[in-house]
Order: sequence, then C-alpha cells, then structure tokens
Amino acid sequence: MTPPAPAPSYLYRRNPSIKLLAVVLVALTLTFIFDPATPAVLFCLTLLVGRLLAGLSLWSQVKPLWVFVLAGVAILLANIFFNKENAVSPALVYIGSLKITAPALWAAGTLWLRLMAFALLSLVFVKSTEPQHLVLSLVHQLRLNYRVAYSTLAGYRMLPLFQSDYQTIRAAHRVRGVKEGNGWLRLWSRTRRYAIPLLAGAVRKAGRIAVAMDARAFGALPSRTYRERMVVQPADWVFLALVLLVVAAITAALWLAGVARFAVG
Amino acid sequence: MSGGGSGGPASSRDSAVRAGRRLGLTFKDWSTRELVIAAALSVAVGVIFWGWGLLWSSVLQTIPFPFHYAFVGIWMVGGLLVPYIVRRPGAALMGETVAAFVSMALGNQWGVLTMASGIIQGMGAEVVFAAFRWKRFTGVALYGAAALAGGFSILLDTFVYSYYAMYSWGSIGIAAILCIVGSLILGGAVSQLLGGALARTGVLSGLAISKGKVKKI
Repeated sequence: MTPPAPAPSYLYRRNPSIKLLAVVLVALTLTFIFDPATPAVLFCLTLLVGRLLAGLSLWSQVKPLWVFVLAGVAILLANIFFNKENAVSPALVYIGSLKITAPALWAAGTLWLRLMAFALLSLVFVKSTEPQHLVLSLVHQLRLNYRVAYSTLAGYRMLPLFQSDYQTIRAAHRVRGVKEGNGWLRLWSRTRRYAIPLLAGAVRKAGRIAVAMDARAFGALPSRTYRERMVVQPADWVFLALVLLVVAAITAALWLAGVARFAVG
Repeated sequence: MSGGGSGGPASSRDSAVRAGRRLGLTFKDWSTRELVIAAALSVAVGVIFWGWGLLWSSVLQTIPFPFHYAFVGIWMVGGLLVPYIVRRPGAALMGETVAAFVSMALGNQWGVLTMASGIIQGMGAEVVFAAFRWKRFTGVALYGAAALAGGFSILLDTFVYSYYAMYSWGSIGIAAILCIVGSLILGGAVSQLLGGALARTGVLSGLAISKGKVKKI
C-alpha cells in the first residue's frame, strides 16, 4: 500500500495567479535594487518560506542551484574586465596587472545574488504549483482564452512522450547501424537526426489529440463548464499583502541601515 | 464555491478583452488541430530552449559579457518557428511564451525571468507579423520578427541585469548588435530550415506552411 499523500502545504493551496503575481512583484523589486545584501536576505527568506510553507527540504531547494557557481564566476570576470567604473575607481587589490575595484565586486555580487534569488523564487513557485492548476487559474482569473489554455495543457502532457520517442528513435538508428560521430560533431549529427523525427512525431500525435478534442465538441460553444474552478480566496490576498509588506519592510530596514541602494535614481 | 473576484473591476477587464479582440488575438480563426500542433511544437521548442540553457550554463557562460550575446538567438525560435508553420495571429506570442514556460519548468538558471524574456521576445516577433497584418510569415516578415525579438530581448536584459549601471553604452551596443544578428541566424534561419524540413516530411499537410507544397503522386 502506498502511504497517504501528505496534506497540501500552505503555498500549494494558494491561488496560482496570486502566487505568480507575488513572485513577479518580488523579482521586479529586486531588479531596482543594486546591493548584494537585499537579495541575499530575500534569498534566505525564500529558503525559509520554501521549507516552512511549501514543505521543501533545504537541500532540495539548494541542490538545483549549483550551476550558479559558474554563473557567478562569469559575472565576476565580466565585471573585472568590463565594468565601466574600473577606469575611474581606485584599485582594492592588483592581481598581476589586473585591477580589482570595489564597484566591480559590488556589481558582480549584486547581480549574482539577484539571479540566485530569482532562481529560488521560481523554484519554490514551480514546486508548489500544479501545472494544471496554473493553467486553469490563468483562464479563470486572468481571462486566458480557454481553447489556448487546454490546447497548451494537451501539448504540455506530451513532455514525457518526447523522452520515450527519443529512446525509440535512438534504438531504431542503432539497429540500423547508424554511426555517431565524436564530440561536437556528435552533438550536431544527433541534433540533426533526432530533431526532425521527434518534431514530426509530436505533430502527428497533436493532430490525433485534436481530432479527439473536436469529436467531443471542444470549443464549439462560447462558454463552458469546469470540473474544477480556481478561486481567489481572502487568504490569497492576505498572502500577497504579507509578501509585499515583508519585502517592503526588509528593503526599508536595509536602506535605513545604509546598506540598500537603488539602481535608478 | 464562494470566493473573491479575480482582481480589478469587471469593466477594465472587459476593455482588455476588447483590446485583444481588436488586435485579432482571439484565436477565433485557429482550428483545434492548429492550436494543439502549435502547443506541441512550442513544448518541443521549450525542450530545445532548456537544452541550450544547459549548454549556456556550462560552456557558453565562459564567454564574457558583450560577446556571449551572439548565442542568444536560439531562444527566439519559439516565436518564429511556430508562426512560420501555423501562420495565425498570436502564434508568435503563444509559441515563445509556452516554450519559455517549459524551459523554466524543466529547470534552468533564470527561473521566472525566462517567462519575462519569453513574453517580451514573443511580443517583439508578434508585432512584426501584426504589421504585415498576419498575411506574410516568410522572408522579410520572418527575419524582421527575428530582429525585433532579439532587440526586445537585449532591451529587457539591459534593464533586468542592470547592464546600464555596470557597462558602457558602447559595449551594450555591441551586445545589441550581436544579439540581433544572432537572432537572424540562430533564430530566423534555423526556424526556416526546421520548418522546411518538417514540411517535407508531410506531417504538416493541411497547415498554412504546406499550402501548395504537397507533391501529388
């Protein structure tokens, strides 16, 4: 017997459109802030929210972010070489003839932590939202055309099929003794040989799905009923207000402490 | 089930819906087959976006700021391949947005920013197709859409990544040129090649791209 599913978390129960709006507003706030401390604080706060309100373990939140180490190095190098303040700022330290300035480090840290915060916010959003609920909510709250919404959902359901189709095509090629090149050449030849059959297969399946949908009079009437309806409850507005309040409070506190800076103005 | 409204007074919502209708984005003239094929193609392109993101996060990331913009173009394919094949109003916006969502959901480095980029790039392409009254989806229209999608993309990045606070306008200009040229080649030309190759397999029969191209035996 399978164990009973855990009770849906607080974040899981929030309306997807409202949750999305909250993520977008926090991300937008971060784009206006130009200091490393604010995104770092918001990053830690998001970790905590993910742990306590979405039931995600800290490790499962941090693990997908490892690619950011490399991104951080790239951002740092770009700033050391190309930051426009380098020419006019005094050097903090010289590495060989390379001049490292405070504005370069400040900008690199800001951008890196901003990206980390974005990524974590999105991760918590995606992991606490059912794609189906998101699409339904886009229809019910944001007035997305329902034909587009359901078709998109049908397309989205084909995602796991791509994986199995890929295996089938690969096996078929192997049986026929198709040779795969080496290194970059292999990547190119693979892309070329797999992309078209995969896309063609997807189009064929989509056509069959569409016939089935048409047979059930999909989109024949101007309005329709829903088995599940996404609603915005007062608790959702409370959630949104709390998110905005906390972000505003943190930004204001850091600004008063002389840490936070704004990108514009 | 009771519950609050959906935000904003009804009148402003209705006027938004009417504005969408005026723009022709009601998806009325789309058949169900076109809609589902567009969605499936967008999801497939989303997987390509995601793969390119992995390549970016590992290999392309080592290229410093203005120069890596030469490789951004692949991410315009959703807003170009889908309208190139389906040739309906809204195809560019839908293709790019759905592809961006899929690449975000599969997990990439940019998270929710991917959606912002997708919507902006899709709008860039859609605006050009709209300027052609959605009657032309090849040649000038396709490459114009690629260029504007690329242009919108670098504009958004300049703002979101605070490039204006870090780099000189000269190097941002280089990034913009590389981004647009890259979009023409990796976005426009790749879409045209992929669309053509796909049409030759015969699966797109009945869609706009195959009109008059089907060989009778």
